[in-house]
Amino acid sequence: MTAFTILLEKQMLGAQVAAGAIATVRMVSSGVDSTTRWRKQVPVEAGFGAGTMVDVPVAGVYDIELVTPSGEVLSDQQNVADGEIKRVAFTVGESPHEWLSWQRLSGYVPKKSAYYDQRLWRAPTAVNESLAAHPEIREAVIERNRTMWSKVIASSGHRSSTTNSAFVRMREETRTRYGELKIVPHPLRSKILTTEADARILQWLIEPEVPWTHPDTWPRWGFVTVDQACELATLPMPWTPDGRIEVSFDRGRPDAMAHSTVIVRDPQFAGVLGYLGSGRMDYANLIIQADDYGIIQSLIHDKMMNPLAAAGAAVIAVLATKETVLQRWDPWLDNLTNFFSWMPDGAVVLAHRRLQQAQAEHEFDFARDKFVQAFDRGIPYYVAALSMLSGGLGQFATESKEIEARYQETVALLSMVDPNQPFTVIRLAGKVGHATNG
Amino acid sequence: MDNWCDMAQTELVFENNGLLAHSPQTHVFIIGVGHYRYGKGGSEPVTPDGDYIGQLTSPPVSARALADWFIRDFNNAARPLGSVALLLSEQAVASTYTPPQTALVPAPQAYRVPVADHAQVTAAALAWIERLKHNKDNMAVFYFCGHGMTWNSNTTMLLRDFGQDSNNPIAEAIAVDQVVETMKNCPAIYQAFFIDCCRTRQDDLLEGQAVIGTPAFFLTPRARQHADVRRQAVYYATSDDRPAAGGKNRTSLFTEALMDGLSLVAAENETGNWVVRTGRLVDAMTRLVGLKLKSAGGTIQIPAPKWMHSFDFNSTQMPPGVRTYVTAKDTSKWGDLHLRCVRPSDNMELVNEPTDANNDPFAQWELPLAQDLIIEAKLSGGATVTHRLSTGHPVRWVELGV
Repeated sequence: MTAFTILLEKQMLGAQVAAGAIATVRMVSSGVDSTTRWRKQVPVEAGFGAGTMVDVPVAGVYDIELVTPSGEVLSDQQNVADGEIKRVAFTVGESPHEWLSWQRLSGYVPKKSAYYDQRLWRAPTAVNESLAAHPEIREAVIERNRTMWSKVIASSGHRSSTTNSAFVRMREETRTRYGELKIVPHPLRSKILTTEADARILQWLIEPEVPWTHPDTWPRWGFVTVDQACELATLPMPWTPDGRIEVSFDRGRPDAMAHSTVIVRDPQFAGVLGYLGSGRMDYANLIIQADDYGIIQSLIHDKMMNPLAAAGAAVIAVLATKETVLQRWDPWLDNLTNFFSWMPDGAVVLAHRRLQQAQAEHEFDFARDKFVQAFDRGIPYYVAALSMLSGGLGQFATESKEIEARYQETVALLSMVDPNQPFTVIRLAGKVGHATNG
Repeated sequence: MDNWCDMAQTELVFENNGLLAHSPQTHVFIIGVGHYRYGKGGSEPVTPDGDYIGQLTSPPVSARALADWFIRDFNNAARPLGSVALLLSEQAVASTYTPPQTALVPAPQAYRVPVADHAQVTAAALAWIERLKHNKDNMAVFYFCGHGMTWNSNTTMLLRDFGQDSNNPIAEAIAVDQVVETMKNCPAIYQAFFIDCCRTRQDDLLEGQAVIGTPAFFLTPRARQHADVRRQAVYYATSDDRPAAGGKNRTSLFTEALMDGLSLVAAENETGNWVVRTGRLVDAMTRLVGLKLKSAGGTIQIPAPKWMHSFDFNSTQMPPGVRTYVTAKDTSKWGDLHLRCVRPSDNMELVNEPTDANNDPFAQWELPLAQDLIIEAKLSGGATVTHRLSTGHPVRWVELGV
């Protein structure tokens, strides 16, 4: 056997990410005269393990190119001898801190050398000067976004739209050095394991406390207040098995993006989520369709175990498919919609898919009604689903004032959401504004 | 030289009359806005909203260069080039365009092209949509180069008369998302969008606006003719809140990378033909832009894809040599290096040149195909770093370990 073992080397993850990057292996020269050159594209492991073995047809020189979930392109040229198994390891650079390893893998934070060099940081706003210490200002922020807040509360399993009652349901235990995270709603079944902070990034690690039985009482949003910024970060719970959620607030991100990022520490799904966030549906789809991983099969079929991951796989499958003829996963989209009414994403994906397939009037009507149903279920967990919802409602907006109103509300919401990450993070107000160019 | 007064105005600067009317074709729509009438330095008194923007020289150059590229170099046997539409905004009273001479354009004539204001863009876009409707296997190509603005995640493309109406300053703008979404109802299955503009924020102007721009066209799902999945590939020149670079009177960085990527760098030959697919094009453009901005850390402008479907876009031919990009890990040492490239089999020296700190921190060479070579980088202090390289198409990337 002649092969490469390819690895995206990343320490401190605490797990091997099964499909953490996409590698393309191309033959350069082999002594075999050919007008075509052998090429293979495969998902490869990230972490600190043995790497992913990629068999090559003959000994020779090969180009190996790796594209990370954040879009970084790395390459190397290697000569492999007959019968040799050659290890090729790439690195995306050391994390600024051990607790930022998953953020670094996803490309949300720069490598250590750039983390401190690019900008000079003034001291963070002291807690007593931050919005975290001024509920009256925060209330005003929410008042300005009342429609939004109503949807937030509705989508967190509560029907009340009053701001006061919403705050009553927040948990008051998470203030750190210069900002805080409140979890909506309360009561909840999660705990914050750790909080980490330096002058630039605040991070909370959250995990479930007990198996889930009543999803409408699960935490839905993290309300993050740092400096003069307020943001709502989706908490993708329940995420099983043992899905720990990281919410980080990076004062170094551009103000046009959300400062908060959400990561699921899921070794099977982390790469997929990364490519979903960076808009690379082709690569995300390559992972979920690969037989080695069987993600599409296991996630959509075994959706009862992890409906949010199943919905993510469904979003990718529907956005990446080239076919409108029935796929094996098509029937499961109905189940995602019917079994999990607390999760709008299922209905969005079903509506988008049925609109793709629609030819008769009643099929268009069905898709339209599903978009309306999805809207009424609340704010989708995935940005891609929110974008699909907006696109779908927009296509039928001229058909009734009710749909037009829903469309306008969705567009307004979408404009406040960071499109560069997989989960919905809403910017309510404020800038960090404490970075100065060095 | 033709007098522009005698020319008929048309956006259609190329039309392939040799194709069957309803055969699958590629229809290209190009907008290049350099002159903003109500912007700073514009031909009209600057308005309060026009004051947000200045004049640009790169977009018309970039738009013409891309039109040239499509007419001269684009090659897709399944969807040959059917038409190229071009709209420009320049300081000149009238913009003209003369296509390059090719087999299909043996005697090029100059065209007077419409100005890229909202009314003319709308009219030309509607005609483009009509052309695309003729066959579902058509490919739509949309390109915009000019000023862009972003409010949160909404990016809008600013047209020539932006800022004219103080009651509706964004009337003369088109939101990217609106175009992409409504094109899902265009019959053409294959669609590529290249958005070459800044995505920097303009909070003062755009804050709170849900839709930023005026649609040029709106296609409804019930009139979309068929239910095949539209394969969309959307490329932004840069990511959110980032500028896009373009030198004075030069092709923009993104457009240059786009043409390089389509012609050569993104090509693959899995089937015996060198083909550029849309997915691979992103990675190639990321590398090209990153290389050219390496001295600035490579992070100022990062091309950003959205909803990337991968499909065959262009077929190309390989040159006899192998384009090789050579750079250094630490670009601050670039001016201190002396580079050599030798072929060890016969000790032939292929390259021997000093590097110049005043130039971009990379060298671009044409090296012979299928050779085992050694690249040497000698530091001014005397140390030498070597790099082994086997050359093969389409291009080689070498980052020297200095």
